Amino acid sequence: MKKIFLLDDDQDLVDVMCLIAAKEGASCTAASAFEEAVQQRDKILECELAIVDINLGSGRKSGIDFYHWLKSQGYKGRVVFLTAHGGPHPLVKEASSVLNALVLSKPIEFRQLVDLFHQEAA
Amino acid sequence: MNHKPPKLENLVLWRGTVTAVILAIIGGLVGLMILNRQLEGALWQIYVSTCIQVIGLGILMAAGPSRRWVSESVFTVVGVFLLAQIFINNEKLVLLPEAVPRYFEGYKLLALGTALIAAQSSRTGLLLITFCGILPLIQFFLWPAELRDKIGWEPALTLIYVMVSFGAYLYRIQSYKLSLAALRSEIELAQMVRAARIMMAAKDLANTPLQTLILSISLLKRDPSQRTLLPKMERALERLKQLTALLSSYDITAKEHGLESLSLDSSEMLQAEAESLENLERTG
Repeated sequence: MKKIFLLDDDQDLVDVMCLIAAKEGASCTAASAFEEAVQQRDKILECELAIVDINLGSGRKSGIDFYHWLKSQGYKGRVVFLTAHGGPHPLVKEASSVLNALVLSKPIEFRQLVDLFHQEAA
Repeated sequence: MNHKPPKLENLVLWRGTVTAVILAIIGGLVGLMILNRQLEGALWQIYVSTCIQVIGLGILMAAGPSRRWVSESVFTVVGVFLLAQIFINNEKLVLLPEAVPRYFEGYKLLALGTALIAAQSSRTGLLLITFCGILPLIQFFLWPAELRDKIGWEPALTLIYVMVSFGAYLYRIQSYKLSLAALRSEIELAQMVRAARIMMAAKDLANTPLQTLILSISLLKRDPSQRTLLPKMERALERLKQLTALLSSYDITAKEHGLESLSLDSSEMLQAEAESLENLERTG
């Protein structure tokens, strides 16, 4: 079974994405804040795909911080950023240029999300 | 009470006129001292002109910069009285037996002063300089031949001053227009950047609930039994409603600036604004 990690400060969105993941035969680990994610370190490191929101709330650690933490823990899977912010936002720029990671802008289509799950399985 | 700031053109005109009138008053007082000895007892024209200038200054200060016609009128009246004063001074100076051949100094000073101080947004300045060239000619040809012979290089010298003044004034007008156009572009760009920021913020706030709705609807289509999705969708919808309410506070600003008509075709308007911003950034 594929293992997917989701980090987004919107609990409803996390729930819906986990439901879709389950329908697609994947197991889902989720968190809505950096600190909550860190507590699930071992589970996350087992995941093949991490879908991470960049902005996790005002004054809170961002998805970029989580990315750095994840890499420092020796994570080998793929990280995809999913953000509501536009391209000109500095954090989005950092994610796409400095980290060279895939950045998807919300809203993405259902099919696109499912493809993302399956790409990892391939 | 809503106090709107005066238009930039009106402010420039007002400040230029105030400066010109103050300098005219100072000039009148200096003129009184200089001409006192030569035109003893015949200085009423300077007193009248100075009184008009003081009254004009009072009117300007009371009216403030927002009323353009007041600045224009004061500038015109003060200019006409100055011309009349200089004309009369010359008529009196030329009759003095010991008169020095410097009759047209007033016109020269007025032309140069107008070129350097008069507001660039006023056409009256150009008229005033023109009359500084016409009146010495008229005056010169009205004088008898024996007087004209005493005058030397005049009125040619005054005409040169007038032409130089004309050039300087036109140059100031052109520079002013260019600065104004550049300023307008900058303001327009700043306003559009601000609007773009608001749009981006609104988009950011809308995208997450929209994502929840898109995925939930797709999931419901595939599996209508997923009733747990409904409260999540309702919450997402509620957040979108809150965003709309937040954005409606900008309706007041739009109404104040008479922008109601712009929202009739939103897609077209957004497209036009985006293109306009692109053009401004390209040219700016």
